[in-house]
Amino acid sequence: MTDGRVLHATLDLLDRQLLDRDGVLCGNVDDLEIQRDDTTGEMFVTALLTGPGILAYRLGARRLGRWTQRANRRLHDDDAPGALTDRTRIPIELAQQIGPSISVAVGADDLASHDAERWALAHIIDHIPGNASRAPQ
Amino acid sequence: MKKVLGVALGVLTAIGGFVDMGDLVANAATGARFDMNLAWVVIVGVFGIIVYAEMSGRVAALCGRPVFDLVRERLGARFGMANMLASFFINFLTLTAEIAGVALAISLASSVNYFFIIPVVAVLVWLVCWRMPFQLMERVFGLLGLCLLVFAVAVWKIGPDWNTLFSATAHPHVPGSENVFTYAYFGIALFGAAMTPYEVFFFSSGAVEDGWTKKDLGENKINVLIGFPLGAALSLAIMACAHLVLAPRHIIVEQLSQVALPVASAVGRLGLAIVLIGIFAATFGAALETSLSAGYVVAQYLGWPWGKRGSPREATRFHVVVLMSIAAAALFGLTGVDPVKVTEYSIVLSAAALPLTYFPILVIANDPRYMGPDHTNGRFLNAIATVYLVILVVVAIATIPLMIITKGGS
Repeated sequence: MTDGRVLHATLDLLDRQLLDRDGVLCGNVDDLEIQRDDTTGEMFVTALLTGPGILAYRLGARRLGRWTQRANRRLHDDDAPGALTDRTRIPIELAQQIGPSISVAVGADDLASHDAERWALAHIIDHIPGNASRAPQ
Repeated sequence: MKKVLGVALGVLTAIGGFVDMGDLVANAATGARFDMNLAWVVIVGVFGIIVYAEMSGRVAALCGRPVFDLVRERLGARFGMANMLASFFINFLTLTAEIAGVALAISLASSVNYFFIIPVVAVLVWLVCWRMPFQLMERVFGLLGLCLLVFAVAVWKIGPDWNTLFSATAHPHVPGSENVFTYAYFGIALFGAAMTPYEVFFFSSGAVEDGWTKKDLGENKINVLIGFPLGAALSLAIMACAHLVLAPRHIIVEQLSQVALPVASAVGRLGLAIVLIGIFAATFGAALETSLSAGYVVAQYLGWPWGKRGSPREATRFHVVVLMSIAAAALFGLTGVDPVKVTEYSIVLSAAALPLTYFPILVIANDPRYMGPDHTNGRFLNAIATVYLVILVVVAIATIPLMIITKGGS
């Protein structure tokens, strides 16, 4: 892990916009998972965390965080396993481009941050006529 | 023609900022009470919004990131959230006022009860947000809003002594009948209107919606340099009309109908009709601007898909926020709140939140990692932008105390 890029974690990663493999906006980097190399004592970012409740936890609102996560679990009723084992955790290896936004090699639907987007589609937007009009340019 | 339509985004943004519901009344009220003694504030304000809107458009064109994205990245999640909640609330107040304002304009023209029109207006606003392509929307309402130029025609028809008018504008003083506090309060209201945060939310998001890239940096400049001065000119024309026609008759402007009076007396029936179309388009345009901004602010802070480039299916939570905001604003309007008062407060409150929105834009516009090496701010621009940031902070600090001292400018 010594060839990793040196980044300022709070400035370059935290709160950045995430784009999925198709360029769909799929949440912000709400928090980071950091591990310490025991031999050298260096710190490494190992994963980007995003999704319901994560931001609340980071800001210290634990109760709100738990509540949001519980509510979100109810929205995500299909248990189809996606590409990720933990749907709020994107291993840093999957981050393909880190710039003004961060592109990750997963689909938005694999992420918990997108559950509410799909819920709103199925329960609200789908019931309103004219939802599929593609705006001609 | 394409060039002309190309500035529609800037024109619509500026109309929403300078001559929306609250400003129409505020401009006329200021002209009637303070003559041209506050006109300089509009001019100071227009330079400020030009500087910051250009930056926000440039950032959006170069890295595709609209303003509220930057707010969270640079203020941090906590301050960013405070700003989001404040902006959303202020924006909601403005949206309420605009919906009520459109209803008021229609009821003035048709004499149908205003309360029956509010729900109709809300549905129309939502339909445009839901279905109408972004570019068509900015063109229709931007261009129709230009009907307000009839205020300039009215000033010209009244045929004032131009020398006195210009020298009165250039040598402002606090009129004898007013005190320093009310003067400062109205000044802040005008300045806040010129630099309303939703202008940069809308402008930068619109730049992304219109798909601007590096190639469009010229278009960005033109939009900013034509749109905002045009908005300021409209605002000054309304003020001058009120100063010339209403002030000598000691009419105090409190309602939308009084704003149109000078045009009716100077240009006649046709003028009145044009002014009503202009007021309708400007307030409706501002209603669109604020309802979309409600969605932009929340979606961009939370990283959701947003915008109306694609279909609503591609930005579902964004459209839910827009829909609910419009519905809630219509319900609030139906309680019978005075739209003029609501915007006055929202403008003044937004003045208090201004630095939180403009500071991140300035920081990012200087960051080569976002802008590339060739497009960061120059020294001169940074100097001006910093001066404005200082003004914004002073205004933000002074706003609430002035509001209390003057009891809301009364």
